[in-house]
Amino acid sequence: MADQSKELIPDNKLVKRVLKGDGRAFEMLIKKYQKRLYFTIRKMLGSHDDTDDVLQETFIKAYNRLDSYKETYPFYPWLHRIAINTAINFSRKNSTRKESSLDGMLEEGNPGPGYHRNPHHELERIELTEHVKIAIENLPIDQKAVFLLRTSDGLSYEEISEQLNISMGTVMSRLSRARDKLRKQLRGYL
Amino acid sequence: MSINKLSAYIDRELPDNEIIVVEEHLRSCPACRKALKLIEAIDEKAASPLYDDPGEAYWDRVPEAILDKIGLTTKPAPKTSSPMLWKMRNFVLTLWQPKRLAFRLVGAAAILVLLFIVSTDVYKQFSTPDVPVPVLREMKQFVISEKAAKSLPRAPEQIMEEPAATVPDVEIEALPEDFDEIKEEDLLSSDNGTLTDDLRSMEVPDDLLVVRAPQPKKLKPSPTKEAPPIVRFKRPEPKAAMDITVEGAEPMSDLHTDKAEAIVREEDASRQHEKELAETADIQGTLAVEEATHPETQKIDTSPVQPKDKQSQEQSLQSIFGALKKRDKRSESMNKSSRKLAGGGTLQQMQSQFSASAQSDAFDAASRDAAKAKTFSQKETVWLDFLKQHPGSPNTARAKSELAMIYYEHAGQSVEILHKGIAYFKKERNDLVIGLGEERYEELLLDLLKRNEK
Repeated sequence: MADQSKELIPDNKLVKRVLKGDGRAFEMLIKKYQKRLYFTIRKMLGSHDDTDDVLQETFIKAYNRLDSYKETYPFYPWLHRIAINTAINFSRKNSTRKESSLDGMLEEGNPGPGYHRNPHHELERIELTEHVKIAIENLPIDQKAVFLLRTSDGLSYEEISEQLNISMGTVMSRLSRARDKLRKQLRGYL
Repeated sequence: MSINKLSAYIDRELPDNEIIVVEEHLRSCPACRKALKLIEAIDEKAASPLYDDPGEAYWDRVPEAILDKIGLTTKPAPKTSSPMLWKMRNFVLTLWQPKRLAFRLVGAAAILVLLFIVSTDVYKQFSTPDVPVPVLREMKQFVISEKAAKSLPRAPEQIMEEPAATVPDVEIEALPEDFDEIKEEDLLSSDNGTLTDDLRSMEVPDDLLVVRAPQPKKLKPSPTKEAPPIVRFKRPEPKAAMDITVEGAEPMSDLHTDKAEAIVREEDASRQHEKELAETADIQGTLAVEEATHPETQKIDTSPVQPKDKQSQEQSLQSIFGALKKRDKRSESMNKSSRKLAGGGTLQQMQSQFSASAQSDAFDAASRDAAKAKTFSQKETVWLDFLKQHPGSPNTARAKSELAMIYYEHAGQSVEILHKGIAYFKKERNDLVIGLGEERYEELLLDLLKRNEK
């Protein structure tokens, strides 16, 4: 009940409380959006450790820039934009990292807790999922960001152009190229 | 069909007319329909959670880590917080960013050094050890002298404004270095608006006085109530006679006091003779004329003169006896004029009081009477009568010496005379030493004592 009541508090009120130095309000905002941001970042970066670093950095940036947040706009798109750009910058800085491969991903095997296994179907699911992961991770970060914002977050082209501060045509071109690469890579698995 | 239009068709981002064109193409192109299904499958797969949930422990740890890095706590926020404080807090946080940390540390060190230098200079300015001790002493003397000058009855400025005839000069002297050992209230003791004997008798050096205004020397200053008269000569009736009043201050020396007392004794002796002679001599008219002619000699008063040292005391006493001498001369002239009017008896007695010649005449007469006397008792009576009739006479020592020699010369006649002689020598030693001389006195007394032993 307590968590549900906390979630009912509007984001703008929580932000006001954070601006007054209320640490508990910011803690509530973190808990409210950390999972969604985590999976978005994780799809872009692939690594849990990198995702953890970017996730924390995202909230820290949001906290430091909280005075520039306008209450008339929804809080999550503002926070999501920070996370995407932080992840893009992080990915560009670590461009020397080796490209992920399907075999490598399978060898790493990071199922995590709660991962229910069905030996037969689970193997097929793992193989398809891991192929998609590898294909997405191998996309260029600019195409990957547009593709994930559109497919994972459901943003429109206009919203993506606003989030990434690019034109609508750039969004369409990056998105079509990302889908074309993924289609070619995953043609045999789907 | 291009993948670009097919992607936009999937996302419902194409205009309506293009959507119709795309749909017509898909109906006729199986490859494009297959590509469309593949893209939709990939999008669906991309929208699904590709990664497993890291677990609740992770979700609990993330907020703590973030709040710890920010420096926030989960305690209620103070109500005084504001967006301005928020910006200030953010500025402080930016100081500790790794990229700027070295630069910030250098700046902070420079600020600390600057603060140290400024604080040191400020301390030196407000600390007094650099002020030389003489300067401090002068400042102290100035402050105390200002207080003393203000407390004195007569300020230097006021004295300077008075006529020069009343206050000849004003001396303003610097204070000595050991002035701080003198209490300030000691300097403030005064009366009658001047620095008085109270101040001088405190053994305070004159140079300690901030303002020293010497008193003008006056022959007839107004008498003060507090000053008691020490010597007063006042003639009896008639009032027309000279009335000499001498009022002196305490600092008069013993020598001058003795002389004055001797004059008093002579004056008292003369009174008796004046009473006898006044009945036969009517000199009132002459004295009245003399008084009108020389009014300044009728009364001599020097009471308020308060010399500050012995030299000034001598000067004041000399002025007193100078006035007495003038009176003697005038009395002699009056004596001559009175002789013409009344036969001169009274003035001759007056002259004997103040002149050595008159005293010498009485002494000579006594000497003649003693020489004429034949017995011891007659001779003794002559000199006893002289001493009784002329107490305080300048010839007293000589008369006592004559009487002592009579005792000595007749000591062999009887033990009674011998004992009387020894007793007289011992009793009148001072005058006998003056009249006989110390050696002669001792010789005679020793001889009498030897006779007494025999």
